[in-house]
Amino acid sequence: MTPAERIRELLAAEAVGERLDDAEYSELHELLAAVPAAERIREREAMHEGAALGQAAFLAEDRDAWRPMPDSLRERLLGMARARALDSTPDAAPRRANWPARWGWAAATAMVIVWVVSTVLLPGRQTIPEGVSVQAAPDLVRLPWRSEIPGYEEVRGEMAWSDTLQAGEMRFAGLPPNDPELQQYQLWIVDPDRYEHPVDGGVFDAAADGDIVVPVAAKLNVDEPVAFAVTLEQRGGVVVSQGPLLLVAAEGPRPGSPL
Amino acid sequence: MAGARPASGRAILERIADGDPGAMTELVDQYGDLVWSLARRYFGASPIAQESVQEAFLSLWSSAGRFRPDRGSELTFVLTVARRRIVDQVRHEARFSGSVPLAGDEVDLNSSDQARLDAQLEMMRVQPLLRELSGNEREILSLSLYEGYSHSEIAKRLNMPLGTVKTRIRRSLIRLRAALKVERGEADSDAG
Repeated sequence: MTPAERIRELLAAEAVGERLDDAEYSELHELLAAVPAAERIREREAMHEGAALGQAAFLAEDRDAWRPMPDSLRERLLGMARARALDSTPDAAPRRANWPARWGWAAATAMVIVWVVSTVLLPGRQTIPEGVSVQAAPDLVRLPWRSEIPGYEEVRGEMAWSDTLQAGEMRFAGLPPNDPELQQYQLWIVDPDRYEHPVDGGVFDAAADGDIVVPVAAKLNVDEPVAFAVTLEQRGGVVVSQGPLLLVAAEGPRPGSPL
Repeated sequence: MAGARPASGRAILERIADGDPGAMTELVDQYGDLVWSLARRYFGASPIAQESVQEAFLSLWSSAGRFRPDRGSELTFVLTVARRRIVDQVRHEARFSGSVPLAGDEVDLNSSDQARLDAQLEMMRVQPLLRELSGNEREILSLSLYEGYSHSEIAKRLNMPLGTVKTRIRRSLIRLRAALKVERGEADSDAG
């Protein structure tokens, strides 16, 4: 079986809902890292679309399976839709732009972050194909770190992220050094379309002078992260964080996003 | 394959992305039964099924701006996004309970609700894609996609090597997608 066939086989399994084990996920990740980013996205989308079409076709054949939605659920959804319509304007872009406001700093100081997926992003683990630079990615989004937490207001730097490469690079200047024996910085990623809660992005240490560059590569698929956040946790990181969010990088509308 | 479109000619998802306040409820009216029926395949008529439908619609409302009518129909977009959310929930719940009709969940084949009828008519346009598959491929895909069997369970049930099951599922998905692309091409030709 060629690598391309193996990729498709694993993506097909993923798309039909088969549970890949850790070894298969690692294999898929490594195989995907070796193909062009655009092709990688296209292949995964194609498999999910094929699975959706197949399921719809079986559903269309099976008249017994077609059920009207319960009235209580319909009313709840319609209520959510009306509330959302009142609350916002077009969703996709403002949802990204509003993330910092929604999780404002006052709330953030007491925010509980729930770990959902083991190591979705791995700082320090470079899996981008050789010769490909995140900085050269055509869809690179640069998100400046912001903070209103005392001691962190002066931190400068950015999260540079590419959806197509599923990789990025964190840069910090003036990040207060941590004692790695006691505490480590932990990255969190917010991708509300895919995961209900922010997900663990792994841990990293600040250099003595506070100026560091940390490559970040996606191990699992992250559709469209809308924000990244950094907390300071016990050595090795935590499953549930009590915050505060020391630094947040959140984006406004992406190029091409509807306003 | 054209998506369901209102008199204005713009897809519901496009209008959601534009901030049309009524479009989100319209999406529920148009596709609610479809998404619910999909969720029932995995969870039965359970609270988890309801939760997964809510997640699916939240995702659809949020991602409406990513819909590109020149790249596919609204139905395909809705199916793909909703199903991914439901499968995410399946992984989260680690279970598959199959279709379990409950009281108050009866079939309403005589519904006169126009939106529901439109959605069902759209579904009928997807069904012929299954003709692209051989009998064996169709059986395997149905067991996997529709009945929720794992690859190894299918291999045991059909007395078939596991590798063959995986290969046929892969080929079937690719073939379905290719058939859709052909259909889109024909639609483009007709339009052009």
